[in-house]
Amino acid sequence: MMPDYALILIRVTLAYLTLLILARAMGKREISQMTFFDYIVGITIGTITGSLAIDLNQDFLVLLPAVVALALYQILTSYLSLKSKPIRNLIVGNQTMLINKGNIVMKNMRKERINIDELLSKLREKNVFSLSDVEYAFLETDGKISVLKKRNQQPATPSDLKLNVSYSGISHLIVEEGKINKNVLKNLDLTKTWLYDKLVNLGIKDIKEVMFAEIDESGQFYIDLNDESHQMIFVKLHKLKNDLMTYYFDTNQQEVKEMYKICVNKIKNCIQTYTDYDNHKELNTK
Amino acid sequence: MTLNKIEKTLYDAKDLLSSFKKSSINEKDEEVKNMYHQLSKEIEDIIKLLASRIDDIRKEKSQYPMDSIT
Repeated sequence: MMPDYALILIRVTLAYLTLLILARAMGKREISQMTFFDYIVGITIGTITGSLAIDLNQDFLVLLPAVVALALYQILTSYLSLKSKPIRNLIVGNQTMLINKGNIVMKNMRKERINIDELLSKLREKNVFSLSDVEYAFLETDGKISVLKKRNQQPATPSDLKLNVSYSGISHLIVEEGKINKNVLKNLDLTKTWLYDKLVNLGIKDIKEVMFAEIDESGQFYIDLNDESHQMIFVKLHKLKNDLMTYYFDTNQQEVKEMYKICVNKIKNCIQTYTDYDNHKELNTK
Repeated sequence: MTLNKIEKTLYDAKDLLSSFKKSSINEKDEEVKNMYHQLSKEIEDIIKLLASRIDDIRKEKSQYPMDSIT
């Protein structure tokens, strides 16, 4: 006969593995996104698994189907609520309007059992300190409040200011600690040759000098080097030179062209001076 | 958009100037110190020219808001 502690150890291990498998199968929904229903199902599964792990009076194989069944029901209801809006409304519920066009909807406040103090507190969490600033507020199905401020209380956007902003999209990490992310490059239809050309253009001779390099969807290239104090200076100088040369070619005004030409010559002088210093330093080191 | 780019370049130039000034402060060798002074001077000139160009573009933009100016 196996001692109790050994039995518990085995049951805990099995319960742990069961929970791990079920949690992975149930998806990645974060706690903040859980509805009240998800929460109570989670607690129920946890409670039964607790008994399964340590209650030696309970048969492990009798309780295990209960946990698995609850998890399967949860997966099934999630799937059904994803596919059907009526089922979603039934299981998850709907958001409730608490403020409509600046007026508190008392009927819904009573229905959700929220008092004015709680509403004000939740608004303050959203950086709203006066009810008069709110146009609409909803109590979402996960218990959080979403707020639309009145038009004159909203921050100005580039479109309000009639500014054109370029699309940048998400950034992709193509070099990480001196190593090329080949899959990322491939997904972006870029080649190693393109990357090496880009680096050489910035005065970088060895990929190992690159701490990270990323590119956004507009093609903007960002880089950080291991040696901040020295190699980075070259990169900054070359980048400045490239930018100034672009402006020189872009402008049609002769006077402005001349100004950019002066800037380019100055930066070329800087690059030459710094290169001479770098070579001299390297010789001395050797 | 072009104005944004030139402003970014101005920011980069200021960043470079700050690197040179820091290096100059930390440098003990007088010859190298002078080199950093010279580099700082060149970058300061570029900063002045770029800042003046940005002012001009802003003035031109306020007069002709629909034009693309470089």
